[in-house]
Amino acid sequence: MTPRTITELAAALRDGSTTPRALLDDAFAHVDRTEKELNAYLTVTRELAELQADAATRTLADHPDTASPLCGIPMALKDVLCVDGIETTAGSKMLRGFKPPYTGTAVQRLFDAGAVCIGKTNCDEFAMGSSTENSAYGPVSNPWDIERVPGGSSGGSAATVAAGSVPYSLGTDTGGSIRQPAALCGVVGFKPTYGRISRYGLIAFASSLDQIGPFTRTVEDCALVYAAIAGHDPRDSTSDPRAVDDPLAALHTGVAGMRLGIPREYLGEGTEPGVRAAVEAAFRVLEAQGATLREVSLPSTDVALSVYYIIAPAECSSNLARYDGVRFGNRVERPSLTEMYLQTRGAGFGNEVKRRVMLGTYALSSGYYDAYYRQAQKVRTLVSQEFETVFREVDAIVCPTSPSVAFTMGSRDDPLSMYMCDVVTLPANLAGIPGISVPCGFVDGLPVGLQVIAPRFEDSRVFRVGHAYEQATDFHTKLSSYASEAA
Amino acid sequence: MATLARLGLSDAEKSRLLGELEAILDHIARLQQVDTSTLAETAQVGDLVNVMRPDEPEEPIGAAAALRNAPVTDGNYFVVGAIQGVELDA
Amino acid sequence: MTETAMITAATLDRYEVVIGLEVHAQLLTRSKMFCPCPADYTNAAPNENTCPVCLGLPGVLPTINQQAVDFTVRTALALHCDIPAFTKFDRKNYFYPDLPKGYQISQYDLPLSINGHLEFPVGGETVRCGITRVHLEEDTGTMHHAGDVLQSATSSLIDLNRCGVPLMEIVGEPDLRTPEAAREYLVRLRQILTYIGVNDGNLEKGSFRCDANISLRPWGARELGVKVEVKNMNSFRAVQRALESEIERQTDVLDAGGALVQETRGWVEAQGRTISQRSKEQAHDYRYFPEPDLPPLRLDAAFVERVRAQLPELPEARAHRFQEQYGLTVYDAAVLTDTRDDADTYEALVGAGVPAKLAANWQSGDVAALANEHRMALRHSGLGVDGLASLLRLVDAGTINGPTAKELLAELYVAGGNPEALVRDRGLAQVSDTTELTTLVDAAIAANPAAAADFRAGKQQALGQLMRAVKDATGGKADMPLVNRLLRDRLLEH
Repeated sequence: MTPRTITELAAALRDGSTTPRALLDDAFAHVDRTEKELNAYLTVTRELAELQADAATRTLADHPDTASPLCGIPMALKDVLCVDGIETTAGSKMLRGFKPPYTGTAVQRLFDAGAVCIGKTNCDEFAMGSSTENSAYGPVSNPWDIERVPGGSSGGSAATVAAGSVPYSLGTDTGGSIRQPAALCGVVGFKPTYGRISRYGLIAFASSLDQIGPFTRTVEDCALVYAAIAGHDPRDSTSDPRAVDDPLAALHTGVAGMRLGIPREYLGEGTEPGVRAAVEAAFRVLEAQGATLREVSLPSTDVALSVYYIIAPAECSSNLARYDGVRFGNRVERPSLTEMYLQTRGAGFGNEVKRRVMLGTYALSSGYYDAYYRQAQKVRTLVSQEFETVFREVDAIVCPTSPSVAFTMGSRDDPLSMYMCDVVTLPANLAGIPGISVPCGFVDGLPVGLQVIAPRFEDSRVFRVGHAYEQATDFHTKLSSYASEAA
Repeated sequence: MATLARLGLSDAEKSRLLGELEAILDHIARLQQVDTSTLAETAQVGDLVNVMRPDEPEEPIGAAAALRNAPVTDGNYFVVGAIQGVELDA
Repeated sequence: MTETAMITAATLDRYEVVIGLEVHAQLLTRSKMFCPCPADYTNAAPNENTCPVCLGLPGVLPTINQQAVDFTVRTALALHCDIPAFTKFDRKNYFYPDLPKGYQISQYDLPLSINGHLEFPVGGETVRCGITRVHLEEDTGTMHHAGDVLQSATSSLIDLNRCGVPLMEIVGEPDLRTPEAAREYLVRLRQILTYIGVNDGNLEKGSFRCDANISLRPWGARELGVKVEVKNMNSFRAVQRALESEIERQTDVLDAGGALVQETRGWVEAQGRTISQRSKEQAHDYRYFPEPDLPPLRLDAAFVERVRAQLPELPEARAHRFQEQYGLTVYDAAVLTDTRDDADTYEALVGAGVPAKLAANWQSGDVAALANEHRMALRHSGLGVDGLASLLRLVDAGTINGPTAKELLAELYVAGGNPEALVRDRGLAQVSDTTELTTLVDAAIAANPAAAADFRAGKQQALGQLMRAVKDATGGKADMPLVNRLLRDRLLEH
């Protein structure tokens, strides 16, 4: 039996064929069965979920017509999202036992809609990584092959949807951390325009790049979740006050007449042949749907990696300075303050975090600021300008999400090779533009993702293209073995 | 640099990190070749300006909530060890 | 002159003293700079006045307090600064337990305002000091060190109530040349800040803080000498004394041919000297970069003019107007415009019909003394401004004499009351009927023949006894200047 989509579940809840409690019980049962192999969860929130399920039951009984489509439906949250009173670790030893005294805005909007949170998912430590191997709590396995990584940093959130435990989850994307794991796990993953979804409550990694976004099985579900959480938040000064246009309104319009661009630099030598084949087949599907495709160029693609690996670590080195053992988190007690800081942070942070904090500190330090950070911010402008130029010629960009399919755990221990996973996703973060990954094929049973990128505030357009492609194919109906066992 | 970042690293860690960072920096060096003479820095991708909040106070969360996650406290205070270990000079 | 002041004077023969001051002033906003916690933490128990944002918890974001920006622009305009069209916040990164985020949100290269100046009197002359910049940042928390001495404390307690309070940093150019000038700069600056309502000027409480940079160089030298930063001065007097002490120390070192170290020194009031606060990390690399969580500010001309329109009349201008409009002396005008409350009170009195000179004398004399004694400004006293106006109008009309008025003032200051009613009910109106007084004058002369004779003989003081006699006879209500005139006329008739 196929795990149901949000839309299907919303209908079932209203026609009485299921209840929030029943959905919750199924979800927990499934997680119980799969957790030993997948390790997708850091915390399972039974008590909270039951409270929320019961409240949702009442809402559905009293106001079935005005209740959100998300009401009563179980979901999971990446463990960088703060929930009041629930342990939130960011995948790090540094925050073991940390229980925030507040809930972030995006999460609160889901809660207000009646969502049922079944747990906090595993991720790369402080969202730094592309495989979830950097979690201090063990890696997450890809439901399509448990010897392989699910991608990262939102590996747990991607895996749990791919496994069929929940119809959706929230992740975060700074350099590709939603889109890339979505591609590797064969699910839909969306990163909105920067500023569309509030970052208040998101444990910061790189402030000018971070965004929250959903993982789902279908593009329509993704648009539903996005609509529930997007919009201005006075607590986030970088959140945009522009009204959010309803992504469902134009969802089914199709791509006939649309101009789609394929950046030649995104299908370079590093692209695995199987990925290239799957993606090129996807291009043919879009053409058959009435879109015109042409090659475009984003010449700064290869330096974009360098830009990202200056800016993100620089901002992170500052954002992570607050982890000092004084007010919360791990503390290694020492008589001297300086020793306490050094040992606390030395013990609490993993290797990748230390690498990036060092790199960032270096990039900002006097004598190097101009050559590294300032230069990177200037080249960032170039990256944005190139997208703007391309978008004068085409309505959206289509390309692979990741140059490779899921790789085996431990096979990329060289940091640079790991960073290459994001080469096609991170430019969208630099430019602050929306992007989605939708399943577009398999290579030896491992999923491939098609990426759609659009200009700033054209999030609806991304959904429209993604949906058109999805409905013309059946990749979104393929299930991992875990999902085919799900209720 | 580790001291500036307050990261306590073992000698082994230090030498490994040094190697990794050098490799990364080499890669990043290609940034220098881009001509940025006509480019302004992107500090923020959006075009937002003057985002401010009216001067209205709200209830604080209080000491109990503030201290709840603190590893070491003394009454209502956070606690740290010796801040300075240097001798006083005249 | 104090001993250190004398040493300063001696030093100035050989070296030029160069002083620059940095003031941090907490703004009188209702909420904190980057979060909506109350800005007033005076009565809060430790760590009560906090929220996830000012605690620097994971996942929080700052939001700019509009009023703090307004106040800073207001201050900048009062200090004749330019307001650039574009300004932004930056992160100043360093580790310290009273700085929860591990960085302070401040302003680095594009502050809210630049290039102003301040004028103030020093020993009768007007000195002008440049203002480099006025910018906005957040305050840190406070710490209590075991044993009260930071350097030797084995542990410290941290209170984050103050963390995030809006702080305005005013950096002065190194244009000051004496400790006295430094002190007068601060006096004037504090006066302006309190006048425009952005700061309460309280040095003891720490809402107005001052650090100094001081160096010496031989006269005629172009380059500045080694700069020493002096901190921990909690009063204007401490600033002056600390600078004098520092001049003495630096002079001794230079005279002996030694070299000064660029360092931070703390003023120790109890010992009357500065002590080095050299720490392990001498050169701070703050790794400034633009704050990514806060969009920049574009303050257009319309905004600046709106703020300028809200500026009250500044003390210097007001004192000048008082001289012109009310015919007051330079000194009186300065006294009556010392604080905005004083100036507003004065103009309220004059506006209520009290003659300018009369109001000035009483306000800066008896009223000031009572305000001091009872630690209660007239405005908040039982008598109030209206009450005083009423009392002084009675004096002006000649209804009561000076001594009666003084007594009533003292009686009513705290308790309050209606002067007119009291004068009526107690029959306190002064006796100024010439006929009646002449009778009493004659009686006094008759009763004090010796004094009368002395006065006629040329002893002016003898009049006093006769004056007192008439005064007592009227129960203190006689119009004494009139009695004086009548006595003289009578005594000199013969």
